[in-house]
Amino acid sequence: MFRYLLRRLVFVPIILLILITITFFLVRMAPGGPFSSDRELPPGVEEALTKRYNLDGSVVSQYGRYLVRLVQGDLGPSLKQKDFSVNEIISNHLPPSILLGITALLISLCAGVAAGLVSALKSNSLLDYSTMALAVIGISLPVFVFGPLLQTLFSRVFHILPVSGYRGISLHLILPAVTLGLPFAARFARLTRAGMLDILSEDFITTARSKGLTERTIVLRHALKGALLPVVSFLGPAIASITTGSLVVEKIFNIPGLGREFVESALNRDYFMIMGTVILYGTLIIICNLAVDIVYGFLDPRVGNEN
Amino acid sequence: MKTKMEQVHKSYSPTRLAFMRLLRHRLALFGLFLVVAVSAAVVIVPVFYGGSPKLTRVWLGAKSPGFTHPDCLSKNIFIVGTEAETSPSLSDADELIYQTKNFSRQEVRITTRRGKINTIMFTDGARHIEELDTSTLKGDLFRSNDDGTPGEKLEQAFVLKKNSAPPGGLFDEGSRVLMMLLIKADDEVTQSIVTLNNSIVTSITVKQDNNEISSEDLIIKGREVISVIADGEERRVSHLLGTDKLGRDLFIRILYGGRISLLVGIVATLVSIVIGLSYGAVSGYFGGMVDSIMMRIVDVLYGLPFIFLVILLMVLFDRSLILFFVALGLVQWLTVARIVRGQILSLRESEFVEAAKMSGASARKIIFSYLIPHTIGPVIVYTTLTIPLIILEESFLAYIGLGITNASDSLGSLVEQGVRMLGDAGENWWLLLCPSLTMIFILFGMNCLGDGLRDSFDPKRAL
Repeated sequence: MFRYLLRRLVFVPIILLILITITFFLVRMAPGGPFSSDRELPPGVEEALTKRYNLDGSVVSQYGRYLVRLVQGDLGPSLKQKDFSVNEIISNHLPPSILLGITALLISLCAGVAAGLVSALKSNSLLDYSTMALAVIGISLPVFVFGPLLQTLFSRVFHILPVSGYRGISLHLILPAVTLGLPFAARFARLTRAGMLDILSEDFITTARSKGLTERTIVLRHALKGALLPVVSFLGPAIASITTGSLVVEKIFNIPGLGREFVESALNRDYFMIMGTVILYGTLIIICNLAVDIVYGFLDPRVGNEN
Repeated sequence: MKTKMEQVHKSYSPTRLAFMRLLRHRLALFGLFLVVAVSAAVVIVPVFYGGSPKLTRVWLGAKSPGFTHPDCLSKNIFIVGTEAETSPSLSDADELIYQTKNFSRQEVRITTRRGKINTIMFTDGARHIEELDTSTLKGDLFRSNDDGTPGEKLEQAFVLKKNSAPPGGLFDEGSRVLMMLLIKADDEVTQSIVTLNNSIVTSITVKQDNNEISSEDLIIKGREVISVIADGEERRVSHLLGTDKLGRDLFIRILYGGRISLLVGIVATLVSIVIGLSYGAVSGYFGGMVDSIMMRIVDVLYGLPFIFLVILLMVLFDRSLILFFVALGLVQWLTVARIVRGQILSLRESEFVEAAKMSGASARKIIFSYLIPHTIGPVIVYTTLTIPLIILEESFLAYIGLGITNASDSLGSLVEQGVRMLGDAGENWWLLLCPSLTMIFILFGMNCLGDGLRDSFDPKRAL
């Protein structure tokens, strides 16, 4: 297990370096630059700007200098929001995104696993069918349809919850988190149901039954751990998708998160801001994947013993 | 029990068995029906329905489903001796009679001082200026654009009073001057008769106040038309699902949008399958060192936040259809590679591969002719589940404003426009509801079908 972890850890910086390299050269290959606008800049001004922002010299030498600064933890200045560094912008806009993501993940995990368990234990009942039909609808319903629907229902018709905005941990968080969590809740429910049904047909469950254990003990102590394995292994991709989904949800509910900053920066050719957000999201996703794999390793004793 | 035994004795191929199981899967059949119905509608109906998704009738504005109006364009131009510029559906008529009403235009200029109305001025063209203390604006009211053309339509009639606060929502934040256009209909009706010969205009007669004037050219604006009669028959256009704010027919736009969405979904999935299938098959067949290196690469790529790279590609480069296919396909091929590799890994030890090797078949022949056909089951399942995923991803991109340019709008962009044009009280509900429902039908059908296929191909459920 320890060696397996170590091997995975070695890959983290390599993946990050590949990501940084791809993004850096991709951004530079694109037409247009951060200072190109309708207005023609006087020749001196543009030169001064490029020098000031370390954009002079060949692209490769810029890449080298960027990496050196990156290792020191400096993501560079923002080229569009002139008074801010990328570090400052990220530290301002990251908390809403993270809070939204975590809340959505928790909601979808609780709701999804619970629905999946109920569905599996009452399999082939009306309850099972309706839950699973709801799950397929949940997967098929685009976030940007579900979001406005919830807004209309809960804010404009019933006036229970605020329409949009961000106030930290508050009522404002409920609608966006539910919107973002729905498709994942649906997937978790399907995975839990399938996993549980698989495990319940295994021989060791029959053994447990013949020993005369109660259904409750069988499900909670013997079956649940194995049934949740597919859910855990889906957590990695889920975390990555939640960051994407949050781009949309942030727009619907007007949350000042990092997603919008990312799209803006890409549109504005704000080189350092693009790099900063991609690196940040990349690191987050890689670390989450790693954490998921560790949890999986603990749950499934087969992992890591291959070699 | 007995029937099961019989089926085992009649040995069918695994694929055949899978399809037999599929036919008993009700939800999957329902999904298949939905998918086939929507795809057929999207492909076939535009051929008969006519019209273009880009045809605008700005004066019409957003109209609810079932709305009908006289069959004319925003601007109908007739010049004797040249081809008539009017609705294509009227081109085979020999005589067109347009009944039109004239509209008077007034410009209204309102200024505020310290949040209260300071002046209310009416101008008729550029000459006559009237200043009023109070006024109720009756007729169709539009915000004027900078070039003097009518812009956003203001829904309610306003009562304006000097030295009182202007009605809410009228002024943009921070602006103190508002220009509006007030358009009123006259009572007088003009009748214009145009005779055509093979869509070439031969004569134009205008009847007004019992006067008959023949003319060389005529321009009829769509918003003034009361009725259009072609060869004695009144012609109207109806909009099955209504129109959007630019007067574009929503039904046609949904059909064309569905085409684009399905095209993106199918082509991007095919891209991912071609790459993933070849990669996974090679990796699985050769095994050993080659396999571990190739799969390590897949692991590394799996860890990348690909969707960000896709967004970057979309933002930084020309957002063409081809780029969309490539970018979305590139994200998905990793999963195919993993699935296929696992399948091939277990297949390559089987006797028929051994036999093929013995008879001197090349690695390429074994992989592509013998091994890949065996992975068809999982690949079909994967395809049906990936198409909706990609359609959804494309709509995400369209929603954050990174849709395909230079093509008609996809379902995702239609939904996005629907959200934007919904209005505060949801008065333009059909603009959101109709494209969303179409999209949900496609995705729901595909997902049900994919689930059914997966169950059917699952060996654990085999007879």
